[in-house]
Amino acid sequence: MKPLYKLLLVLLLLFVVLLGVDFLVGRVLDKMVDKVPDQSEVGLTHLSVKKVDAPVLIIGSSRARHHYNTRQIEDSLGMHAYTIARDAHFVSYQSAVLNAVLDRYTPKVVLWECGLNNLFSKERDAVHCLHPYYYDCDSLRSIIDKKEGASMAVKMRLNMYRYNGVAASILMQSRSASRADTMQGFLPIKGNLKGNDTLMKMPEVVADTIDPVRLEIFRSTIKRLHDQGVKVILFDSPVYEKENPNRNLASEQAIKEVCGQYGVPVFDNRHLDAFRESPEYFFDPTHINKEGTAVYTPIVIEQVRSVLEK
Amino acid sequence: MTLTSFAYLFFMPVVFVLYWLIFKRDKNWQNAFLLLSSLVFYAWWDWRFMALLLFTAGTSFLFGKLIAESDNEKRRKVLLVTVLLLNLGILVYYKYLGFFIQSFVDMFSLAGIELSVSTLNIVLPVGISFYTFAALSYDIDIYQRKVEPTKDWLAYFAFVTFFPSLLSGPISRATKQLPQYFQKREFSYDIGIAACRMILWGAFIKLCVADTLGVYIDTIYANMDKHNGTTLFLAQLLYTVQIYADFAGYSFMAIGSGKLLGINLLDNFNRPYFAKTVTEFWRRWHISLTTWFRDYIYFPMGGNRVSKLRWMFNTVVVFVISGLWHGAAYTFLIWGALHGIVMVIERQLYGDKIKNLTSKFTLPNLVRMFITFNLVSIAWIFFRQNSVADAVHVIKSMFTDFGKPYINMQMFAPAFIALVIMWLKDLADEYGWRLKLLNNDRMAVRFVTALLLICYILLFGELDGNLFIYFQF
Repeated sequence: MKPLYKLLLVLLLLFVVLLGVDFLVGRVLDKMVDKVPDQSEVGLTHLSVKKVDAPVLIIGSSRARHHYNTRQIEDSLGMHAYTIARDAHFVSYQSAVLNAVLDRYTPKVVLWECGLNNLFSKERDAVHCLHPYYYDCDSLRSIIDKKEGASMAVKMRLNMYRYNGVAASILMQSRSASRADTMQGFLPIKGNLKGNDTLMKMPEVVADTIDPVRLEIFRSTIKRLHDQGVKVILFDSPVYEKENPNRNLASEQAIKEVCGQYGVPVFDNRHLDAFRESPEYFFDPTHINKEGTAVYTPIVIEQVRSVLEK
Repeated sequence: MTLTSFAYLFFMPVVFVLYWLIFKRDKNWQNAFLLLSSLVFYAWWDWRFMALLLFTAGTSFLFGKLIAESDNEKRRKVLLVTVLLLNLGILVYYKYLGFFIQSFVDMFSLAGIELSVSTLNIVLPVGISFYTFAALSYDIDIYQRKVEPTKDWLAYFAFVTFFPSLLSGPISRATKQLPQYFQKREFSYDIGIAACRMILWGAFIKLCVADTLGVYIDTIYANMDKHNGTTLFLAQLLYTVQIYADFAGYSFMAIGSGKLLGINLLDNFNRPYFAKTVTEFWRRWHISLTTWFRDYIYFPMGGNRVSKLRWMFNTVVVFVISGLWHGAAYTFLIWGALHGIVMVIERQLYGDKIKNLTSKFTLPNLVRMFITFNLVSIAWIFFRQNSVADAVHVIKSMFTDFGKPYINMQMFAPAFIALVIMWLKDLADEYGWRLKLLNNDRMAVRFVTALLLICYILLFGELDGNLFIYFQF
C-alpha cells in the first residue's frame, strides 16, 4: 500500500473508532446530566430546559438568583414559583431557556431581571452551557446558531463537543450539590458592604454599541411570550451606585422600546429610596444580600400585584 | 484562521490531500499550491493585509537579488539598509507608532506641556513580526554571503508565506528552510505519523492546559482588586505554565503541519522550565526568535568578544529589543530588561561554568531550576499585565496580602489533570525516562493514547475560546 493511503487509512480508522466512543460517551453523559441535583449550576440549567413547570418563573442572572425570595412571591401570588436564573448568564441564555420552557408549557407569569445594560456588545452573553440541549429544542438551537454561527450544526454532531466544558461540571457537581442548597432556585447571599462606603462610585459611561443579534433574540422572545399570553414583567434591581446622568442609555432604551411594543411593564428599581446609601443591604455594588432581599421582595410583590390587578 | 480553529480542522486535511494527490508532480506545482494555500489561509483573517505580506516577500526577494549582484560594498550596504528600512518601517508603523506617539505625549506632559493628539487605532496585521523577520533573514544572509540568492521566486514566496509558521512562527530562516523548497518533496509514512502526533500533542497542551488555565487566569486578572495576594500569586504561577503550553503547543502544531507537507520548521521549544539558569532558559524558549536576535543583533554588536562592560550592555540591549518585539509597551520593555539583567548577574556568579552545568537530576540542579522558574515567573508579571502600575500592584499584593486562594474546581480540575500529564511527559523526555505512549512500540497503545487525547480535548479543552497569546505579536 502506498504510504499516503496507509496514513489516510489509519486516520480514517481512528475517526471511526472515535465516533463509536463519542456515541457511548454521549449516552452516558445524557444519563448523568439527568441525575445532577437541581441546586447545582448544570442541574439548574437542566431543570430550566427540561423539567420546570411552575406557573410563575423568575429568570435572570445572579441578580435574579440572589434577589428574589421565591417562596415569598409564591405565597403572595398564590401560585407555585421557581427561580431559574443562573449566575453570569445573560440575555441570550435567558431567552433560550424561556423558549425551551415555552416549547413544553406556557407559564402564567415571568418576572425577568434582564439587566438594562445587557444588550451592549461588550457585556458577557454566553450560551455555551446550553449545547447539550442543542437537538432537544428548535428555538433553543436557533438562538445558539444565531449567537455562535452556522458551524455549530456540524460541531454539535459530536456528542463530546456538545458536552465540552460541561462534562467536568457534570462529573463534579453530582457530588457537591449540597453546598448550594437553594429555596426553589433562590439563593440569598450573606455579608454586607458596611464600612466599605468607598465602593459607592459613579458608574462609568459605557462606550459601547448594542449587539444586534442579542437585541433580535430578546425581541423575538418577548414577542413569543406575548403571543402565547404570558404576563411578562421586567425588573432591574437595586445597585449600590450613584446615578450617572451621562450614562449610555442605548441598551435600556432599546429594551424599553421592545417592551413598550408588546405591553411589557418595566420596573427600573436600580435607585430605590430604600436602598439609597444603605450599604448594609448590599453584598457588593451590584448584588443585594439576604437583608436587602427581605426589603426588596415585598416591593417587587407590590409591583407585580399592581400589574396583575390591571 | 488559527491552527486551533474549527476552520483549520477542515482546511489542513484538504490542503494535505490535494498537495500529495494532485500537486505532487514537481516542486513548482507543490510550491505554487503552498503559496495559494498560504494566501487563502491569511486572507481568511483579512484579505486586505495580503498586500503587505506580498510586499515584504517581493521587496526582500528583489533586494536580495540586487545585493548579490553588486560587488560594491557601499552599494550592498545601502541596498540592505533600504530593504531593512522599508520592511521594518511597515512594522514600526503598524506596531509601534501609537506607542511612540503616546510616549512623546507623556514626555511633554511630564514637563507640564499638554499635547492634544488623537489616538491612533491602527489594526496590527497578524504575523507581521514573524514574516518580516523571516524575510529579512534572507537579505541579511545574502549580504553576509551566507546564502546564495534564488531566482526561483515561487519557492521564495512559498517560503516566506508558508502558512503553518506564518502567524506565530517558528520564525523561518533562509539558510535552513529555503533549500527545502528547491526540491520536490516526497511523502513518508513515518514522518506523516510523527507529524500527526506532534499536532495532537500540541493541540492537547494548547487547548486543555493553556486555554483552560487561561479562563481561570483571565477571571482573576479581570477582577484583580477583588482577589488577595495569594490568589494573584497562584494566578501568576499558572500564567507561567499557560504561556508555555500556549506557545509550545501552537509551535508543535505548526511544526507538525509543516512536516505533513514535507517542510521541516525550526524547533522552537525544548522544555524551558527545566532550565537551570535564565541563560539556559533562553536556549530552550522561543528558540527561533532567540537565535534570530543572536545572529542578527547580538553577534554584529560584538557578541561576547568585547569588553565585559560592553558585553553587559549588549546583552541588556538585545533583551530590551526582544521585549519590544513582543509588544509596544513599557511592560514588555521591562520584561526584556529584567531578563537581560539577570543574565548579566548569572554570568558574574557562574563565570564560564554557566556553559557546563550538568543536566543530571540532582538536588543542586533542582534548586537551580526552582530559582530560574521563579525568576522567569516574576518577569512574566510584566509581560501579562496591561500597565506597569498593575504589575507592581500584583507583585506588592503577592508578598503582603495573604489569604485563602480562590479556586474554582470545576474550572481548575480538567486543566490541572492536563497540566500533570504535560509535566510528566516533559519530565520523562528531559531525563530520557521510558514513558512511551504516543510513540510506543505497540500500535494498540499508540492508538488508545491518541484516542484518549482526542476525547480529553473534545470534553475538557477550551474550544472556540482564547486566541493564541503570541497571535498579537
